[in-house]
Amino acid sequence: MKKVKINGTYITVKHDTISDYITHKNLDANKIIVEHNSNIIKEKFWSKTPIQDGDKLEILNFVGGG
Amino acid sequence: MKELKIGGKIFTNRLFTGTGKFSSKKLIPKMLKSSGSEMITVALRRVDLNAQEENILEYIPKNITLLPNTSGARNHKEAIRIARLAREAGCGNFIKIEVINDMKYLFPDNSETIKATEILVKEGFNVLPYIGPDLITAKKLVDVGASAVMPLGSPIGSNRGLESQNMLEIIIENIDIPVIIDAGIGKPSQAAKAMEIGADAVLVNTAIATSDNPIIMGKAFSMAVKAGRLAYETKLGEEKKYASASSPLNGIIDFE
Repeated sequence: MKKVKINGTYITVKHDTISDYITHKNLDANKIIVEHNSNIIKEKFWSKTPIQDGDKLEILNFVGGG
Repeated sequence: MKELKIGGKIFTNRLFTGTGKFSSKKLIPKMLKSSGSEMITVALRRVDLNAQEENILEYIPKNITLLPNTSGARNHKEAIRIARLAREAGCGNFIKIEVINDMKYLFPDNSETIKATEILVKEGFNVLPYIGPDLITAKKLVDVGASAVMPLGSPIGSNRGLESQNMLEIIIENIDIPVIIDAGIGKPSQAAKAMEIGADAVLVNTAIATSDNPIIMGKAFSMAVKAGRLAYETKLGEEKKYASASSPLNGIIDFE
């Protein structure tokens, strides 16, 4: 189990890769942008990017705004 | 009416809109249809991992140009980070730079905006910076390659119209890239005024989204923008100190 900060909250996750976590949360890959430890990670690399203890993930999408 | 070209794209409608503050996202595609607006802003925020909502992109037709903003950024580094993240969504390279560290008036930080623009232009973005209405800032943005400048009319969401009109006219007269008046436009008459003084376009969010009927209000704004632009292109009459009769002064019957 790994302690990871995801969208500002510390969460304990068992998932090995970003892609595992995205699938687990049922997120639409086409609509989200992922930043891992301050680096933008393109979708094609999600399955190759491991989640490790102490990592910081930002999972973002577009919302209404002016 | 003449075409408007920004960042290599041609816009036939000079009303740009925003997706903020709608009571229901379902109103957005209907508003876009009724207004004919061809570019709309969105913001970038964290996904709510506990409550899956429908994404805003579901409500924006594919032919509409997306204009993500860098709202949330307080300095140029944060704006650049948001811009790079927004581009990663794959919806084009237009970006509205919005750098705000004043929470009372939401006035943009012009100097941080210039810094962000310079760097993002070099990275291939089409940058539309939102600024306080200052000519010197606008000139610097032209120099660093902005695709347009977006000076404010009055504070965001205030509906006070063109409080900065004199400054806007100065910018319009001296800047060759498109000038899009953004923020504070609260009535169609204010949008028409913006076009009459020579703005290339306006961006309206609050006044449409928070109205009782955004679909009709969008149409009203669109009509006003068209009217103002037609009048501007046909050259408006000059203001005069004294009257000038509209009916002939000769041929009047003898009243004696």
